[in-house]
Amino acid sequence: MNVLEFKNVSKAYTKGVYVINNLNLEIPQGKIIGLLGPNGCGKSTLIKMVAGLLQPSNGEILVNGTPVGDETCALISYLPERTYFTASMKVIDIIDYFADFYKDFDKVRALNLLKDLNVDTNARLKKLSKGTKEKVQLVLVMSRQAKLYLLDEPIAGVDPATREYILSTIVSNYNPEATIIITTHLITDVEPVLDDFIFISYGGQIVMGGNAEEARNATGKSLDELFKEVFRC
Amino acid sequence: MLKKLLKYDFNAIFKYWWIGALTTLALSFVGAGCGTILETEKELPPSVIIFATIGMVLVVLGIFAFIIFAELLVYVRFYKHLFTDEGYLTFTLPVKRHQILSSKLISGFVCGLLTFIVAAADAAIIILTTFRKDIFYDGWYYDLVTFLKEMVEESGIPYLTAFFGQLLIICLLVLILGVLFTYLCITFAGAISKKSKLASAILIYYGASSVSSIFMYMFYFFGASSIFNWIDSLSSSNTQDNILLIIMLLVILFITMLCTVAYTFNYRLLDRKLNLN
Repeated sequence: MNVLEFKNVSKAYTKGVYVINNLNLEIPQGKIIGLLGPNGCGKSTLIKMVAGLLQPSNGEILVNGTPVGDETCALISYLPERTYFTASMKVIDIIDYFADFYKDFDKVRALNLLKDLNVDTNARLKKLSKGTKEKVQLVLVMSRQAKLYLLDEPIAGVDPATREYILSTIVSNYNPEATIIITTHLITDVEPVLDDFIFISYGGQIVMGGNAEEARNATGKSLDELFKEVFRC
Repeated sequence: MLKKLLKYDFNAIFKYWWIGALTTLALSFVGAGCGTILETEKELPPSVIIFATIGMVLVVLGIFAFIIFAELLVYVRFYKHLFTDEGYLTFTLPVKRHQILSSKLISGFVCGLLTFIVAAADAAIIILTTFRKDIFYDGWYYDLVTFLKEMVEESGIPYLTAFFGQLLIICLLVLILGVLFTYLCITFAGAISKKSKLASAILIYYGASSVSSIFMYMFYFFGASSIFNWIDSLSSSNTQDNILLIIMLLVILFITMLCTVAYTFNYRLLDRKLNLN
């Protein structure tokens, strides 16, 4: 079954200038998928439309067969490329906030993960570094039992050692029936965890995609090398 | 889910609001003291009078500052929670968008109402203390009761109940409309503006306020004054009373309609034109 479907989806911020142009795509459940593309190709726009933060100019997006809207928010766990916390809140407050609103939120798991990362749950968010805030946000997002995880640049702002921890967190906390979509241009780091990949170009055009392992075997190249070949300037 | 949203909205607003409320209540006692000094019949040194005058001015400014502070708490919360990075969390919560808007409206309305009550209490403390000799003269209670009795005899309890009931409803609706109108300006700015959302919201608010003020004045000079003159010209006071009640009812219906339009438009913008870049 497809967890996510794009049907003739287009998005233009300015009239006539399309960031995404007539995209048709089906994403099955139970996969970790890399949505990979150069800067400004529309990856974040695509993710935001699925999360309901942007409205498509044309077309329809279905999550688990339901058009994006209030109902689909309960199925999606979204990690934006920025931190969205109220700075004056404590880490424990934001955990309670998630526990209040998301039925599928596992508070114990979140607290354990934060303990592993040495994050003080009584610290105010404004006192935390950008990297620590990103870790907290990732922990919150991955502590849900969602159908679809949308991770927009989850490792962009953190050091290489933490990247490894974050990726292992993603894999170890992932429900096999769910789908994770990761957008990034740090392909080498995420490549080991990906089942499938989608190379997306300007205008939201899909230039290549499929099973990551099969692509590596068929071409003898890593996804990173393939990416450089496809998007060579 | 509305209850949960309300819990967080009330917490966010009232965590700071009560500090302002308590401060202005304390200030009102200072104002009462200054007022008593200024109204005393004894001769006081000029420095004391100057000090008391400055004190009174500062107290009044403090009360106005509290009202503005309370309004800012509500509208900054609305803007930050919906149209800054925090919106990424707000709009991905498993709640309906009308619940988000309703929560903001209820919390804004309650905050506005409580602010009005506190400001009125402040004013009452200052006025009743300063002019206590003029207000609480010998027999003031008897005069007040007589005045109320005369009013009841002249107009009747049903009319007074209807009049003050409708007046209260109009005041509450105006408060709701004020909150919705400001929210709508912010949402409209959030939907059309890509970068300077806050500046656009302020611009739209003052633009729309100016236009609506012009319409209000036009209505008053060309419509309302003629209506009141016409009511005055009617011979029977009963007819005058009934027409006044009907007009108040029409005003209630008109403001309710404006509130409904503002809410619906706001909701539609949040639901269909949300653009968090």
